Amino acid sequence: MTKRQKGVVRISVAAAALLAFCQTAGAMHIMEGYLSPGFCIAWGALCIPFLVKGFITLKEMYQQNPKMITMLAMAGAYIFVLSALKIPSVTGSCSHMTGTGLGAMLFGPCVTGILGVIVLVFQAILLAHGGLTTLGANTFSMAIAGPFVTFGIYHLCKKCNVNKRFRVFLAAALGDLFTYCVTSLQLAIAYPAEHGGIETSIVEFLGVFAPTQLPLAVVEGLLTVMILITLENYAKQELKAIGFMKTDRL
Amino acid sequence: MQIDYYAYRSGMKKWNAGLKVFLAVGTLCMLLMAGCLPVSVIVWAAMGMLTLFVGKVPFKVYLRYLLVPLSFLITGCIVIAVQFSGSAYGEWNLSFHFFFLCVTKSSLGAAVRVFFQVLAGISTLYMLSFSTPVSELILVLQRLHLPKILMELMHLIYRYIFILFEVVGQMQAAAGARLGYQGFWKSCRTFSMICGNLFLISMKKANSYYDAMLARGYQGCLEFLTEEKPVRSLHIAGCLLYFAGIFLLTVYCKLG
Amino acid sequence: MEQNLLEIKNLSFAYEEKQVLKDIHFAVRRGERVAVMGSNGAGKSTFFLNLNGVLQADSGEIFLEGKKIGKKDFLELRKRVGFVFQDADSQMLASDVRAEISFGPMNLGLGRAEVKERVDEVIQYLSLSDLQEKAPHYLSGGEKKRVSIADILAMKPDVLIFDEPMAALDPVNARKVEEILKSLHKRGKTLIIATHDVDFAYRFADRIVVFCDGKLIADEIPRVIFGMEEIMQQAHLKKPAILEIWEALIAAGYVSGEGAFPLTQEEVVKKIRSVNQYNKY
Repeated sequence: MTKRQKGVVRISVAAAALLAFCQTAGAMHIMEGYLSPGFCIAWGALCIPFLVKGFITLKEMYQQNPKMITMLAMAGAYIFVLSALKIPSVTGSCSHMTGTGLGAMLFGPCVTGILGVIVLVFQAILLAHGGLTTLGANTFSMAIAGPFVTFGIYHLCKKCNVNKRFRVFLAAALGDLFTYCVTSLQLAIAYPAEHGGIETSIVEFLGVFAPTQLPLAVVEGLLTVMILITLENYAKQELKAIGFMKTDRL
Repeated sequence: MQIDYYAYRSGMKKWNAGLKVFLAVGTLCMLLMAGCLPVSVIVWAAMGMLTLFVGKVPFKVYLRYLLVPLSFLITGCIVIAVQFSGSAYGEWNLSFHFFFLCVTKSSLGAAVRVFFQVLAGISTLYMLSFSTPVSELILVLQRLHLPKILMELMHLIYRYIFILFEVVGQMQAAAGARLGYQGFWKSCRTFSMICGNLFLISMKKANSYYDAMLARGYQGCLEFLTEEKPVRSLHIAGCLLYFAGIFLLTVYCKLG
Repeated sequence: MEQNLLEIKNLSFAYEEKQVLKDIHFAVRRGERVAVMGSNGAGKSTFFLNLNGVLQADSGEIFLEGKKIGKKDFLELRKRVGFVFQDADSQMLASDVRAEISFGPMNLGLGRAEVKERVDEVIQYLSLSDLQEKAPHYLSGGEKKRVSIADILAMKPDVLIFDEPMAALDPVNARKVEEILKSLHKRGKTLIIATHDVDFAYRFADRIVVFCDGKLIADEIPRVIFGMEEIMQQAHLKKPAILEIWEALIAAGYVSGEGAFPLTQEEVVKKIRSVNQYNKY
C-alpha cells in the first residue's frame, strides 16, 4: 500500500467505527446466535439461583395478597414499556433505558429479576431485541447483575447518608455501567483475542461500546432521579402500597 | 410492535404452535452446535424463505427487522476480526503510531462465521415470532409445566403492555402538542413526567383490573378456552427432513 | 307482590376513611330496567361493585331471591349478577376474543363442551364471528364494548349491570349497544344501567334511581323523577328534551295531557301528526 492509500483506509476505518457507535445506542442485548451452546447454558445456569429466590419472593407476595398478580403484571408491563420508549438523546441516535434499575429500586431486585426474564422474552419476541438462546446471558447482565448492583448501591448510600437524589442517580447509573461491563465480559469470554486472550478482548469490547454506553448511563441516572421526583409528587399512595418510600423523601 | 401485528396475520398461523417452537428451538440448537458457515447460510435462507413466502410477511418489514441488530452485530464482528496490539502481527495490520490494528486470516474467518451465524439465528427467531402470537407461545410453555404463576404473569403482562403503550402514545402526543420536546432538558423533563404518570396510571389500573377479574368469578386461576391447532403429518415430515439435511451438512463440514 | 330478585338493605361502605355509600336501600324485580343517575363520584361504581360481590360492605344486607347473602356466598352473587365495566379494556384479559369470552364461563367451573357452546351462542347473538380470532388490542372501541358485553352474557347472569355503556362511543356504536340492551330486556334479563344521558334514561328505563354524595336520594319512575325539581338540582340533572317539549306543548294547549307521554322522537312526531289530522276534520 502506498502512504496515501493507507491514509484513506485509516480514515475509512475511523468513519466506520464512528458510524457504528452512533447507531449502537440502547441496552446491549446479545443477539440470537452470537454465543456458542456452552456459554448459553453456562450463563443460564448462573441465573437459576437468583431466579429461584425471586420466584419464591414472588410466590410469597402472591400468597399474602392475591391482588399482587395484577400489580406485578403491571410492574412487568411498566418495565417493558419504559425500556421501549425512546429517551431524549444528545447525539440524535435513538436510545432506550434499561428500566430494570428503576424496577429494582421500586420493586426490589429479586422480583425485578423474575419480571426481567419475562420482559426479556417479550423484548426478543416482540421487539427483536436479544434472543432465545442468549436469554440466559442477557438475563444475567440486565435482569440480575444490573438490578442487584443498583439495589446494593442504593442501600449502601442510604446507610452512609448520601443525599437521596445523588444516591438514586449513582445507583441507576452504576447499575447501568455494571450491566455494560458484564455484557462486555460475556462477549469477550465468548470470543477471546488470538493474541492476549480474554484480557485484550474485554478491553476492546469495553472500548468499542464506551462511547454509547457511558453517556447512556449518565442519562439513565438523570432520568431515574427525575422520574422518582415525579413519583413522589404524584404517586405517594401507590409508592407506599408497593413498599417504597417508608421514611425518606427526595 | 409490528411483529405482533403480523403474527396474527401470518400464513403460518394455522400451524401447530408447539411444532413451530420445536422447529425454531431445534434449528437454533443445531445451528449453534454446528458453528460452520454453510449450515448458517442454509438455515438463514430456509428460515427467511419460510417467513417470507409461507408466512407472507412483507419483504420491506422483514428487511427492516433484519437491520435492527445489524449495527450491534457489525460492531461485534469488527471487534472479533480486528485486534489491538502493541506490535504488528497477522496478515494485515495498520499502524496508528501508538498501537496496531491487526487482522489475521483466522480472526477474519471467525468474524464472518459469527456474522452469518447471527443472521441465521435471527431469521430463525423471526420465523417463530412473526408467525406465532404470544398467547400461543405461552400455551406451549404451559405444556412444558412451567410454574403456573409465571405463565399467568406472562399472560397479563402481554395484555397490559398494549394498554400501557396506548396510554403512553396519547401522553406523548399531548406533550408534543404542548411543545414538550424542545431541547434536551425539556425533553428529559417531559420524559420523566410521562414515566412517572405512567407508573401512577399502571398501579391504579392494576387495582381496577383486579376488581374486573373478581367480577367475572376469578378465584385465583386464570383459565381460558383454548383450541389447539392440529399437527399435520406433512409438517412433521418436512421438519424431520430439514433437520436430517442440516445434520448431514454439519457432518460433511466437520469431516471435510 | 312479586318477589324482589335482588334487594339491598342499609348498605354502607367506606374506602379507608372515606364514606362512599351511606345507608342504601334498593330493590329490583325480575325483568326490570333501572337507570342509575348521579354525577361522577356519587358512588355509583362502588355501589355496583357491592351489588356484584366484589366489594363487601361494612354494614348492610344483600338478598338474592329473598335469600340472604352471607360472607361465604359472595361467589354466588358474582355468578348471578354480571357487571359490564365502563372501560372495556379493564375487563379484557385474553389474547383473542374467543378465549376472552370463555374466561367467565371457565370460572363458573363448567365443562369444556358447555363453555364452548356458550361462547358460540354469545358470538352468534352479538354477531362477533368476524372478530373471533382477533386480539383485543386490535379491536375498535365499539367492538371492544360489544366483546365486553359478550364476556358477561356468556356467564348467563340474571341481573346485568352496565356502567355507562354508551360512554365514549360514536352514535352508530351507541345505537348498537342500545339495541343490544333492548334485546336483552325482551329476553327477560334484569338490567341496571348507570348513565348520564337523561334522554336515554327517560326513554329506556322503567325506573330511575338517583345517587348524590353516596346517598340514594330518589327512586321513582322517570316522569316523576324529572318532575322533582329539588332532586334534579341536587344531582345536576337536566330534563329530557322530549319531556320538556311535550310539557310545553301541553301547557300551550296544542296537545292534550292525557294518556301516556311519548318517549322517543318518532312517538312525538306521530302524536303531533295525529293531533293535526284530528283538527283537520
